[in-house]
Amino acid sequence: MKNLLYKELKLVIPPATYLFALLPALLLIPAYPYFVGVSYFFFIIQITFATARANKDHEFTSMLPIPRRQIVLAKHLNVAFVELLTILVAIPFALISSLIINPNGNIVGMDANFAFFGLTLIAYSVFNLAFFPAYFKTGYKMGVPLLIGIAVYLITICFFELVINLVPALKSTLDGLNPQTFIYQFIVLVAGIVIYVGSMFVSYKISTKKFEKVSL
Amino acid sequence: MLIVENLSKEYPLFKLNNISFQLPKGYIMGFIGMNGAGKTTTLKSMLNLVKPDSGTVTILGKDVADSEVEIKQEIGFMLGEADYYSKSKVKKIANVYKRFFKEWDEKAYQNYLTRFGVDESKMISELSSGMRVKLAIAFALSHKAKLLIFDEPTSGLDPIARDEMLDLFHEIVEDGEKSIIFSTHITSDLDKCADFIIFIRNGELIANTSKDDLIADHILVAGKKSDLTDELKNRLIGFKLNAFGFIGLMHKNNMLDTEKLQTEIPNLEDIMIYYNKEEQK
Repeated sequence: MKNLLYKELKLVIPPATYLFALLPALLLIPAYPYFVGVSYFFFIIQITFATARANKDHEFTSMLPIPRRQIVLAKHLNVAFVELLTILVAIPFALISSLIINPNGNIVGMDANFAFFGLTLIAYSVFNLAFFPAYFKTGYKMGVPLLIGIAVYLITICFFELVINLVPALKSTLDGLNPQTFIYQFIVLVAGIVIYVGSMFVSYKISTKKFEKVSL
Repeated sequence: MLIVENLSKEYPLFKLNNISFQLPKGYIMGFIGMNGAGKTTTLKSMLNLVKPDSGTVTILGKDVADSEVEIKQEIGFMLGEADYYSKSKVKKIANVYKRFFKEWDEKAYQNYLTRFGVDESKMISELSSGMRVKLAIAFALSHKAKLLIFDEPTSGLDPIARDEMLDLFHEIVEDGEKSIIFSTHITSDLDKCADFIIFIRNGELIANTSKDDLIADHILVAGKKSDLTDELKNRLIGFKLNAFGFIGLMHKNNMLDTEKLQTEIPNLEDIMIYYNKEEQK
């Protein structure tokens, strides 16, 4: 797994990734929907997968002494790296935004609290589950899989924003920066982490099954 | 060393049909056929890159379907020139590639780069097509592989480089422990170095024999147009008409003692060409 991640970092993930990964800095804009700030990961995925296809990445990986399922694993590691990097970069900007720029809370959408990052992980999970199995049906066609992934991701974050705004019990516990509600928000974060890991595992299993039938 | 049994793979417009052959230790096998005959499909099916519909491939006593990873540590293969990550430097790609092999031999790798004249500090896109072929071969040869599988290893190489490559193949099998199977449509390569030949046409195995036997079993015949009777046409594998008459290929045992035709020993190219004519007949 270490070697595969090394390969993705050295040969596959383009340098522009690190520039795009800074986009959660948009969280510093006063009254900015935070979910938008963590949504730029799919630009990176689009660039990475398109570049990988042009660079015959699967062809190279298939020359290595690894089982075919590890080609699928390499791409899951790649996307996990991009998504988790987005969250890691977003955390300090979310803190600055919450403590200095919007101390009274974000007026458009959720505050960047524990629950926000938990729900972001769940939305990423939905994206991964939609994108990967569709992509690994061929291993090279990525337009439609990406569109499906982005569509379900956007629906998910809109759903979260709506539900939290419309259900008072959720609004009072999961939104805001009140330390007394942190315990509920923390539960959502833990749930997000569990769902994210689970979704990667399920996506990997389904994608592997599909990719086994593909001719390289 | 390598046993392929009843390998089949069906596509909508092409079928690889029951391909079987064996390659013993210490020999070079040439794999010939026209473009689209199924050479690459066969090689890819052997490596599990294309899932065969049926058949088994055994390499070094292990079934490829069951022990793919283990086998890939012990074989070297190149299925075309190294044309991946075109804007990355050779050294960067090699640094990733070598990490995956338990028996990576850095000294051998550096020797091959020097021998082939490949500059590690260049990007892939800066290498000529021939250099990329050589790089792919250097990759395949540098982890102490016992069986080497090459798809068109001489294509894109100039005549001198081709000759040197064939000399290298001889050197590799010299110790009697390693074997090479390589596909080509440049049959003169095989005239120079192959011990065994497999010949496929349109997914069907036409010949699987030693090179010497394949040539000894066939004969080129030439005569006037008036000599080309229907009976003779039936005995010929394929023939071509020209201004003076005809030239055709036949199995030696189809030759009659009373035949008054000019004869000549065919080379592999003749055999390929006239078998193709048979298909067109």
